[in-house]
Amino acid sequence: MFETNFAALDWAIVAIYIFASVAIGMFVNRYIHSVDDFLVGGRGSGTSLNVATYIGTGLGLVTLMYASMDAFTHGFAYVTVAVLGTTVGLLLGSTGFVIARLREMKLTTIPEFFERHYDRQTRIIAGIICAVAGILNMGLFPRMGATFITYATGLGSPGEVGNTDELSVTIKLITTLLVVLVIAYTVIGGMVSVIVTDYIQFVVLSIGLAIGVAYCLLDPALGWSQITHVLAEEKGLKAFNPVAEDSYGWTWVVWMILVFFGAALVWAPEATRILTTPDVRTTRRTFLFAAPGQFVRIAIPALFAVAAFTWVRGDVELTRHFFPNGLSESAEHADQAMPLLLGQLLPSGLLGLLVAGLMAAFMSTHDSYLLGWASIITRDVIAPIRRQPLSDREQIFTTRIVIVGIGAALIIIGLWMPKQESIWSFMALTGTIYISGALPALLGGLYWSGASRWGARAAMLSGFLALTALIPNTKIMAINPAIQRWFTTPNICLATYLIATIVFVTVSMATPGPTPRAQEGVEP
Amino acid sequence: MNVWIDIWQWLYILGLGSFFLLVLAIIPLGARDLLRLFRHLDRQKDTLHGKRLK
Repeated sequence: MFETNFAALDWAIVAIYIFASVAIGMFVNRYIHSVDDFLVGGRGSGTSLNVATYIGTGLGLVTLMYASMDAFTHGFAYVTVAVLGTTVGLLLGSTGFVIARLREMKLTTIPEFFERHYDRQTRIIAGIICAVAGILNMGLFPRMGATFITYATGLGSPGEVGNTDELSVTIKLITTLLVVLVIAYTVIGGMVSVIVTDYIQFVVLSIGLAIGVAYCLLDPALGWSQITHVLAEEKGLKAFNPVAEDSYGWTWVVWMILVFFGAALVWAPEATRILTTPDVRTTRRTFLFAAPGQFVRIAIPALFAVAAFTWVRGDVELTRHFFPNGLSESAEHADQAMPLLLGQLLPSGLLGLLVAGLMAAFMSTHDSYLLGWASIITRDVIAPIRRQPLSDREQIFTTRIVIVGIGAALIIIGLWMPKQESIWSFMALTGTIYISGALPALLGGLYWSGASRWGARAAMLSGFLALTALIPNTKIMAINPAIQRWFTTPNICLATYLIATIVFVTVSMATPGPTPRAQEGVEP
Repeated sequence: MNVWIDIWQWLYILGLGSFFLLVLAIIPLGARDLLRLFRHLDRQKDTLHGKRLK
């Protein structure tokens, strides 16, 4: 049941690709001469390259996994996320709202804005919360990568793989090796290495995804008409309309708009792309042209998942494994469906190319995230606390040490972290911890003269309210069964955004600060 | 229901179509940008080196 077409040829393709990619990533170390080169690629990345790396960062293997998991249960309704992400990208790119002003300030990290506008302590608080939320957010990445490898390649014994959610030792070792390789080239080549490897990964991934889409749409047992027909028959309107009964609902839709809007502006791995361009025009064009990438990163894995649903329905044994309570109910083992479909649908050779593309996705997200969080810890936490300016050399050295530290923590906790029902909700929730407070502090700092440092700090600390969504439902039942139906992740996270904004405005009005600081460069 | 199926069909045609067209443009233009980036970094190195000599 769990065997796939993955053969020796595919392993060879994947191995050659990965090692070539890492070697190139290390080779570009010769271009690193300053901290700007290491952290923002010397601000010399043109529009096309920036679009490729922006899409490469957003289109991670974890993205493909969480999108396919949600879409396997919720169908096309989940693709609403893709539509919202694309719309936000088009709006920011066409208007230059916020992103143009941030680029004009020549920042290296987003928390740096908080020192320029508020004070050093606010920058440190933003840096700490951002790094904590970011590392938590990244916690599930290795596990998702490992799960994909297991089911796409057919590694591990079918019984072991099919009947348990535990990952085999082999898979853990392979995933550890991949993370170590990413750490190696990110430590050595910094942002230049991230840009170069992201570009290569964008090319390979695009080809791989095109092959996957073609196979899903052209297979006689699948195809657009068949998969939409099966989905409509088994799940009804809730699989197409996100606000239909038993689907996601309006609260979730509004929360998603805030997540995408906030992530584009303050979430380090995404927002760094605002800062790596040579000028404002390139920043705006990056957001505008990368908008279709925002759609594809969710829509393609969702298409794979819906195709997998059709595939599963045609097989009694698979139906029993994935939908023990019936096809209209939530799926069990949803993380296994998409890789299994691809592993069984694509022939050897093409499967190797697709898996190489998805390994590329795994690496391109990890490198940007590692560098993003490490540069924030170095520049926005360590350097301001130390008070004495760090030299270029010291900044690069410290960032490298922090990358290794985050990577090691990721390997240790990532592979052992318990599986979540919806990876997407977990990631949006951990993002909300930082984004909910940083977004009003950023917008207020840019556009409201009444914004104060105490308002910004209080708003950022309010973001931790989002963690209440992690309290198990059983505990809420024990406290008060009546509130259980309101105690959902979208409700709590949306409430966190509202509370953080209200706290920011109220505290700012109660504690008016000094005139905002001049917007010149601030040495860390 | 059919309206929703049509909406998603057109969104997919539009989204995937524009993405793969973008890919065709980005691959050669991105390679050009990459070479420019290397030249830019090399120039920065020369500038830095010049400043140190002074």
